[in-house]
Amino acid sequence: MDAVAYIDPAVISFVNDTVVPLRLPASDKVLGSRYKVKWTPTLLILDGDGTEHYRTLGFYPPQQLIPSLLLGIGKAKFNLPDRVAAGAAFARVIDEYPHDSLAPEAVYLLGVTRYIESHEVTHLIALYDRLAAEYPESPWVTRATPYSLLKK
Amino acid sequence: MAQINWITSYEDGLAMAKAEDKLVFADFFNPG
Repeated sequence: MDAVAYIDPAVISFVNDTVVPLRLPASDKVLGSRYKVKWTPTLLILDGDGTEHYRTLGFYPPQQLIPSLLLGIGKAKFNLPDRVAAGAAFARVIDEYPHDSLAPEAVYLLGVTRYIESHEVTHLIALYDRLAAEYPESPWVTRATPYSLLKK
Repeated sequence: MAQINWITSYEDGLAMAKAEDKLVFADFFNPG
């Protein structure tokens, strides 16, 4: 991560502006145990109380790290709950990184977030239609298939 | 050259997150 992702100007700007970057050795006896860190690097999104909302691992290239962090931010905001901020984070994944492997999941989560906020099933139908049209090979199409049955 | 402004204290990181209303991006890494 130090050799590639963390020296990328876009990553530096995004991380410094958007989150509090915290770097800890995986060997930390207290925190490594608390967060059950078994792999390195393990990347987490935490809230201010230290509650974990998102976890991923591995050496991300810069162009994949930002959408992954955005997805994690969206999930954290959804849980807190700040559904408007969650939707904004998911939308950024879709709009700014439409070809990233996480974009279909963001489509799904954005649609469900909007449904929960509005109780309008049109958001669920729309997310299925968008996944089927734009990401037909994604497993998220299968996961969204029940929503296609909501069409009248 | 710009760089990520890493915090290396867990407590300081959480306090900063609360003060700035941000989430924490925690990287558990292998220093070796």
